[in-house]
Amino acid sequence: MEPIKRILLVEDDLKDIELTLNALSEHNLANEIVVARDGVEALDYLYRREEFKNRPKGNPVAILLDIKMPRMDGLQVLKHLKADEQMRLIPVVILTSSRESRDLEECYRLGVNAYVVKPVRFTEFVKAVKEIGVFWALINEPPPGSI
Amino acid sequence: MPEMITNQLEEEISVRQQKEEELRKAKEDLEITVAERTVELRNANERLQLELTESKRAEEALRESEERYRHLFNSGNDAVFVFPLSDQGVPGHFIEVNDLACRRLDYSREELLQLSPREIAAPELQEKIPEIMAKLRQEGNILFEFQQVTRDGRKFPVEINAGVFQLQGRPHVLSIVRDITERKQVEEALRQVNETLRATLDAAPVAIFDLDTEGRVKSLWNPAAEEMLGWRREEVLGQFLPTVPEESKEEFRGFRAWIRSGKSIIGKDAVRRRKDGSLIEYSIYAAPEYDDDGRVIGNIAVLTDITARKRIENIRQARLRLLEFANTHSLDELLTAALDEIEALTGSAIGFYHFLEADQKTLSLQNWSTNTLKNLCTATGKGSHYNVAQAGVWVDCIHERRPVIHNDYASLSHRQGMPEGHAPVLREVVVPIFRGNLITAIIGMGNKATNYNGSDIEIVSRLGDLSWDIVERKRAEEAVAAERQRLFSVLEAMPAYVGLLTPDYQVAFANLYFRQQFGEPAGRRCYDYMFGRREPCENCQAYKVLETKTPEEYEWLGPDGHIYQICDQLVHDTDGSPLILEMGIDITDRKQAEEEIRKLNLELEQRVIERTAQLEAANQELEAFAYSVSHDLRAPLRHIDGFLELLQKRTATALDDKSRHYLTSVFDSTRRMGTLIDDLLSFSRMGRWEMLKKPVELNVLVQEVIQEFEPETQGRLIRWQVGALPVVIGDLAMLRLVLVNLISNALKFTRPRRQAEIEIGCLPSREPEAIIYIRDNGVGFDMKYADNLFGVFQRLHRIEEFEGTGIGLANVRRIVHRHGGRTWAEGKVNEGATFYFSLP
Repeated sequence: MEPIKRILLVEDDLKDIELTLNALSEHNLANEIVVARDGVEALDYLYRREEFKNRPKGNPVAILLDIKMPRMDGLQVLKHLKADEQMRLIPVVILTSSRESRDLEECYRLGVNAYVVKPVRFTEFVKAVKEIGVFWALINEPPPGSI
Repeated sequence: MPEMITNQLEEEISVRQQKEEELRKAKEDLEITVAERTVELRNANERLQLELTESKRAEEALRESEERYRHLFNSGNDAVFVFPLSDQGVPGHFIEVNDLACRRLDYSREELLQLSPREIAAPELQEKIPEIMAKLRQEGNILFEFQQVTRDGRKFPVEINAGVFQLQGRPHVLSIVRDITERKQVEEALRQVNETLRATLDAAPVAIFDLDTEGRVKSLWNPAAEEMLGWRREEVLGQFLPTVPEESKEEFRGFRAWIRSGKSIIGKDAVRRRKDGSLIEYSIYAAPEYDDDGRVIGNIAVLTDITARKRIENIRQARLRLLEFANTHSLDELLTAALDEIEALTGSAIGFYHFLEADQKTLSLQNWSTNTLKNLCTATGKGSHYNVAQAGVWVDCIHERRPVIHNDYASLSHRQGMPEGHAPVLREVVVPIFRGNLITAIIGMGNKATNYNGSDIEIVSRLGDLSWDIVERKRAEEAVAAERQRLFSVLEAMPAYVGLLTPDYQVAFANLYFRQQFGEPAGRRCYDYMFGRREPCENCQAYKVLETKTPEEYEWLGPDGHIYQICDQLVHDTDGSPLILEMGIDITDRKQAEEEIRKLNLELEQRVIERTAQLEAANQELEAFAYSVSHDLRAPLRHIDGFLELLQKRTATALDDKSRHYLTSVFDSTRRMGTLIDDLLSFSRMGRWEMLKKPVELNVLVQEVIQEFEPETQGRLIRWQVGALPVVIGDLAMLRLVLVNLISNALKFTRPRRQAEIEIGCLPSREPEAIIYIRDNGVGFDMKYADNLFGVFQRLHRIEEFEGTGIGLANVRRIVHRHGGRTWAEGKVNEGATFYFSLP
């Protein structure tokens, strides 16, 4: 059996989490999703610290990262990951409401792999999330060391 | 003496001849006795011998006598000739001459005895000989001067004493001839001296006469005396000297006493009266005459006319007076003074001074003498101008270009009448003053008591020349003074201080501003004057120029608290010595203004900084706002939409139509809300977009945009009409958005038309502005709302009629404004609309 390909969704908004998971579930991808509620939790997960210290080894095949979050925002997380030799190969997709050019520029400067603006219309949102999930979880060949 | 000799000689000759005759007779007797009385010869021999002895003794006596006589004959200074005279009075050959006669005439005795008086007479006098002989015969003894000639033709004057005497019964002439060459030379010399003396007296330009001790004219009264004093020689000979005027009689007596005491008078100036009564000043010289016993018998007197000398002296003094006068008087006063002087010296009663212009045709009447104005002439004024051609005889001197005298004014044929008030002119002299070839002025004098003559011309010319020199000098001086005054006024009026400083810190000049600011220099040194110091200031910038020789400019805070812009520079005085020219412009006000401006600028800068900070803060707020809009507003919308979708899926069959309609309405509103937010964000971005300006070909851009709309407009009937559009400078993406918005609007609002007509063109306009318009035949708008068209979210139609958020035209305006252009629109309800934008 194929090893489970996990996607780390970093998102503080419960409604967005619910809608994202809802969208992914339509392709039975929901179970592969690990949710972190902010940047700190995301890094804890990735470095297997705190509550995640017992999780099995292996990096997620992709990280879906919101920008605006409490404690540590998406940009900080991204910066951290891309500066870390172990983490920098993990594909990071920014999934955000912001279409601000400065966010876009900053993300690409830090080495983001993709930048997706969440469409307002749910059907389109579902479509976008689905495609992201399918692409990163199923189609894309993850870097070595992924789960 | 010669007479005595002649008598003696005559006597001697007579004796000798008698003896000879006796001797001859005795011989004859003897021969007869010998011949007839040969017998008796022996008898008589003794007696004869005695007689012979007797005869020899007598002959010896005779010989001795002859010897004595010959000695006498040959000694002495006179030549002696003896020659016979024929019955007709013709002189024969010399029968006797003495040695001196031979020597003098350079003949031997034998040669001379072959000649007669004729041969030794000067050739031109030979014919006089018969006449002389006739007179001699008649008078027996004559004395006359004659000329003899030597063998080689040299003539010499002689005085001949000739006498007739009988020798052997025939008349002979004894001629005693004395050489008078020397006496003749002396006489000639004396004659020449006398002649010279006479000529001298005749030609002497001084009066010469002699007086006896009483003062009567003795014999001498030379032509000059006649001329100068007016009396002829005949009139005064033997008369008391008539030239002594009454007032000089005493002085004259003094002179006489002086002379009588044997002293001379050397150069005494005295006034003498001419026969015509006029008084003339002479310089008198006199020397006593003595008789053989040394007594004074009178004197010779010499009078020289010193009028000319006096005139020259007077002219000289007048010149000095005028020169001095000129120093302290105006040109006008000088001219009057010159005329007065000339008038006095010439004895005139009127005088005028005219300037003649360079055209030599225009006279300006410059001045009249004081006398003329006071007494004689009220007709003219200064500064009047005459044309020479219309002037009277007094301009003859201009025509003739030389001084002119009219002593008979009244008889002049070409004179003109006098203006009323003009002095009557009896006689006049008018003299032109020349400078080069041009007559610069004419000076006229009139109404002298006697006739004008060369002396007057001399006086007028000399003083006229001088006065013109002064005129020129004065004019130059006045011009210089005027110029100087003008420059001085400028300096005084300058709103800056100007000063001249000497190398030893003297204030050579300070203009009014300077003095007002710092007081009168009053001989104080600049450091004292300006700063109250006792020695020069350290590092005085002004005095640097003495070394650097280059102008110094600097700002300086004066002791008066004002700020000056100073310029120091080296200038040179007229004598070449260095001076510092310091000029100071009070820039206190300017400085204050500058300071204020600087302060204001600082304030302004501060305010700009503050305002910029405020704006940046506001911008950041706006950006934060936009950011939060983009995040925070979109998120709930997305959630609403998402959960509605989920709800719809779940309740698809449970809801009635009404409920489904509500759900649809909520969906629509959500979507519209999303669009509004997106548009608002794009509008916000438009303001912050960094423009990249480069040439944009509008025609190309328009075609691209039209093509982009093709998918949307399929099936519609649209007539595009695109004119020639310019190339403009701008941001391609933003200009594309402008065209997209306007064309999109045109397409939108022409939808109700069966055939849409859209025209895109460029209005003819003055460079450098390009005005682009997009005209459609759509639904148009009411011009009342034209101003609202370009506002954010402003709409003129209901959303069901025409979709849109009302952000498009707001973006258009914002973009055009950012390009420096304008936007406006024209339209009418149902009759289409035209949107304009201009780009510089």
